[in-house]
Amino acid sequence: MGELGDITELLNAANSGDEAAQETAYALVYDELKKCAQRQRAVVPGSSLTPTALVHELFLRLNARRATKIHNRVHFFSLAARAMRQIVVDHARRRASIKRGGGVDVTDIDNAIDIGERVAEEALDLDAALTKLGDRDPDLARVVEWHFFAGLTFKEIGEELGRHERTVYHDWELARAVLQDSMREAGR
Amino acid sequence: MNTQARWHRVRELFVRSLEQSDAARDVWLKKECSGDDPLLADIRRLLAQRSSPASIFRDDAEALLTKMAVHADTDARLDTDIGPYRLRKLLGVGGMGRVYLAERTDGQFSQQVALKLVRNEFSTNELHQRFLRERNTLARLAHPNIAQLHDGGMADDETPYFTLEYIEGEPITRWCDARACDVRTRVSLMLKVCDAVLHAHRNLIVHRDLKPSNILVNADGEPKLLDFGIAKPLAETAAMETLTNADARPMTREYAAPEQLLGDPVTTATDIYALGVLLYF
Repeated sequence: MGELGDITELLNAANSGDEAAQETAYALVYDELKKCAQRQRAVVPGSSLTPTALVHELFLRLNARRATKIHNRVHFFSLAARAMRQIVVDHARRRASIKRGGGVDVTDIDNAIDIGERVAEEALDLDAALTKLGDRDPDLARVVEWHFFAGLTFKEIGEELGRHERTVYHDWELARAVLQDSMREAGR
Repeated sequence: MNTQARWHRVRELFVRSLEQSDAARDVWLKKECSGDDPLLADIRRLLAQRSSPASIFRDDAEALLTKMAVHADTDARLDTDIGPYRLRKLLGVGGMGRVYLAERTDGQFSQQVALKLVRNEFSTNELHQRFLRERNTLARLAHPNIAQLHDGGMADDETPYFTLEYIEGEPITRWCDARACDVRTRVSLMLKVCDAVLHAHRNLIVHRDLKPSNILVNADGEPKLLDFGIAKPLAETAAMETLTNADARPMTREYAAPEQLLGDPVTTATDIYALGVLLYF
């Protein structure tokens, strides 16, 4: 698997400001996470995907694969979190496109589709609200991406960013309040 | 204060508010805002969000993906035949089965129907028997606001299915919201819904899972109730097979009457309760 080695190299290149390398690294991380997710589901159909597990697994594989280590962990987690967010959004779009309507929206029999569709809509709303938050305060948006999408704990985030766990938690609380506020505003 | 400076102020005050005790917080905040009422209002609104976390934040990305998981793209049944029907399109997937848009292939009629295919775990002979019993009753249920049940049977692999009038429409709540309907329009829609339910009750049929997604409004603005009587055989079969799993009972918690949550016998009052909840939403 030459690709994994490539990611490490690309990450390191991206680190020194190479934007093309950054985009390519992102694309590779995205594909890898998606593959991890599919593999996990193929083994146990219906089993849950753990973003934490996926992101950590990918990180370990990348780091172990080569003599070249990932120099910038922050960079890796940023890419991985962005990729997880994109995977969730992709799923949500696809889910939302299986429209009710058709006379039946399955929910009739049980509410599983209701939940799936509602969740998909919420996920898309969240994504939009997060983009808005990112424009105003990229730092807060990063906490949301890392915690919510990549599954990093406040402690892990604090360690990566050199901040106190409590500070990260406070940032998360504020970010969540702002997101909820803007999602509810939009839903009105 | 420019936007960015103001945001920093909001951020700072919010975080510092968290350090205050619940009792002291508001007094402290008021003092800090010192007469800047819009700022005070903004921070109060944000703080209030903490007491009612949106459901999405109770999940993480993992739970979201699981809940959304649907393998629509790998559906081997598409374009195959079940009984006299050819499956054309997957309309949705639920815990108890899948629903397809289907067409009759035997040339008897050229019509599109919604075909529900019960998931394998539920496809027992018992369930099939129940459907057959219900079918006769339901076929008699003719009302302009009730989607007609056409047919039912077993696929070659003994999966039970049934077909319904195919309604293209939107759930009643969404339909009303999308058109910003006034109270008069909403009430007149609701009267039609009540009339349909009354008709069913007179025929001794209880819906037991009334909710917006089961009440679609079509292009002509007519409400159509879906799935009358379908929940019943499913509920009975599910109850028999998964006694320990209350979630297998076909109902929707938000609209479920107390007796459904408790597992007590369902009566016509169950539907009336759901209609009341619907009005509230």
